[in-house]
Amino acid sequence: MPRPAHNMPHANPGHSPHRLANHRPAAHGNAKYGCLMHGCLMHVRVMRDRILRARAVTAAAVVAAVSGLFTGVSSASSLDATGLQISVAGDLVAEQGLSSDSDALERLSPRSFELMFYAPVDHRFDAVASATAHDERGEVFLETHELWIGSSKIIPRGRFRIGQMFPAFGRLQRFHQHDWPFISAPEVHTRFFDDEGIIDTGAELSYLLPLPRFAELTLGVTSGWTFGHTHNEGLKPDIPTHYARLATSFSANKLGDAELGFNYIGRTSSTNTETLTFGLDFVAKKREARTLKYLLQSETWYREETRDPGGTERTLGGYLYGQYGFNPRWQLGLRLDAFTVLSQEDALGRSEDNLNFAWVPTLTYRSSEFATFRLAYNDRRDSVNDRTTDRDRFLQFQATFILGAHPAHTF
Amino acid sequence: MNKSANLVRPAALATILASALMLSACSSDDDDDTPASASAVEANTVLSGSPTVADDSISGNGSVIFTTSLGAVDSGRHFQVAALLDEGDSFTIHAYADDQLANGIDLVVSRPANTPTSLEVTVDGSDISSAFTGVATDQAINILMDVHNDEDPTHVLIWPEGETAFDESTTLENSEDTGSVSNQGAGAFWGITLNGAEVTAAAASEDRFED
Repeated sequence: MPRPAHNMPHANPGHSPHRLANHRPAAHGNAKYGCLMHGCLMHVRVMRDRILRARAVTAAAVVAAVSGLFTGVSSASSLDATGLQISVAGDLVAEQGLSSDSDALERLSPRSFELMFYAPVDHRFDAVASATAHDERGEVFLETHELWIGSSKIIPRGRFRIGQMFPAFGRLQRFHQHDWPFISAPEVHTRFFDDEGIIDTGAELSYLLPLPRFAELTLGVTSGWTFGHTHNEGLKPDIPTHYARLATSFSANKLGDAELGFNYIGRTSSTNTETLTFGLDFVAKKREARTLKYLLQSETWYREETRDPGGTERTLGGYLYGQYGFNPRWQLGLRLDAFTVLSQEDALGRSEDNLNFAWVPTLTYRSSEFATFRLAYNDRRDSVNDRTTDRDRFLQFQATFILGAHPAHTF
Repeated sequence: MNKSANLVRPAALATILASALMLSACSSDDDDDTPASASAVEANTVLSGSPTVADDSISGNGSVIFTTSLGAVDSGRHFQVAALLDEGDSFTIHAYADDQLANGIDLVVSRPANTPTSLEVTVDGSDISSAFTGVATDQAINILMDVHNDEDPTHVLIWPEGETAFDESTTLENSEDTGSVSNQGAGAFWGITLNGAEVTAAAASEDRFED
């Protein structure tokens, strides 16, 4: 499912640029809550009672859901009275190496199990809480993925959230891994943002610019104690993680509707390593009835990392994924990945032309929006000065399912 | 009509994908080039001192830096180093160091003259000698080490000689558990400093363990 930062039905009326273009947070709020003083007081009392009742039902629902988990009964639940949505997502992945020294984990493993709750807290705020168990080579790590509260009803044309979240930059970073159109992350994403994405605590504001066409600016600051894969709490950075994304949308003719995002992420670590990352994300989709006929998605990222001592390293990478939908159930796609260290030199100061390249055809079968099966072939090569230094070929199989609520799809 | 088309198309897709896989499988590993260095010791350059450098060994006193870089600073590599130590000898592996072999993650292996049957080992300045109790000091010392410099602090894992199951449970030393490493390498080079030791193998390759 898309990360609910942008698609909680109650928090935000959809993230589709076209829907957002018509979004009027202030007007919406005024229409619902604009009233005379007496009416307001009455309304507040009614709301308070509703919220109290809703919380009681919510608490009961949570207990029921959790007890359902332990008794093996589906915990999926949608409680109309409270707006509480509960979602359980499972992501199973199997790999089979095709080359002799493949890194493939040759077994079926539960990659992740996610339990998510989201709902309006009151008439102003919405919140999300999700926990995920990750399997890392047989060892299970349970962690808080998201725990934030936010609102789209307080700042005109804007929405914000505070807490632990997946910062909203790029494309894959904004989606849960089990909702990507392919199984595993492209090399550039793994290198810059880890296998799944960056998780951090902080605050984020998205603002719909008053322009004739859709243009949304997202600004955020997060603690930056860690950035990427880690099992520790990290250290306080000299400059915390800060980021910006400017997104716009347009018609891409035969490819349907498209969204383009410009991204910047910065951070200076406790050891004075300055990281500046710039990126471009693009997605175009064309639907015909229930069939996603064409999907074209890409991200290109450039990073400068300056260590003191150590100098500056410049890296560039990206991926391009094209997918054709035969019908609502079957899709075939091909992803091309590339990654290079632009500043790489050998010990004698000679430039080392290097490239990490992969091609990943992926066949998808969707039984419904709640169950997806994928088969992918991965062929990855590392080369330095036109000589292959490493090659890995393996098959991947993925099964994902969602029990319970399923947030509205992000564009 | 639509139903049959829906069945035929996926079948065609599967056939296409399977064919692609078979073609790719036929290419097998034949197109895999040989590693950067076919010899036991990677191509290197003397950085300081006057070590004796041959195709299959380096000995004496001094430092050598291996010519091929480790790629990105923000990456992980596996190091395999074998060395013979007489009493009082030592060697240091500098991983993810700069081009002067400074500011990296150092593993120092010593065979003290006063206790020649045991090894003194430090990583990033932390004493991890107890992990090497029982390692025969009068034979070649084989270091199998992953250095994950894409983590902060750098994650170092060392396995015993002959280990093929490169997992956290089979390590002699796992810095994530012991907290022995508190820094991160600042460069993309590696090298060895010798103090009387004879290195008979030194190669860097793709990291064996993935977090």
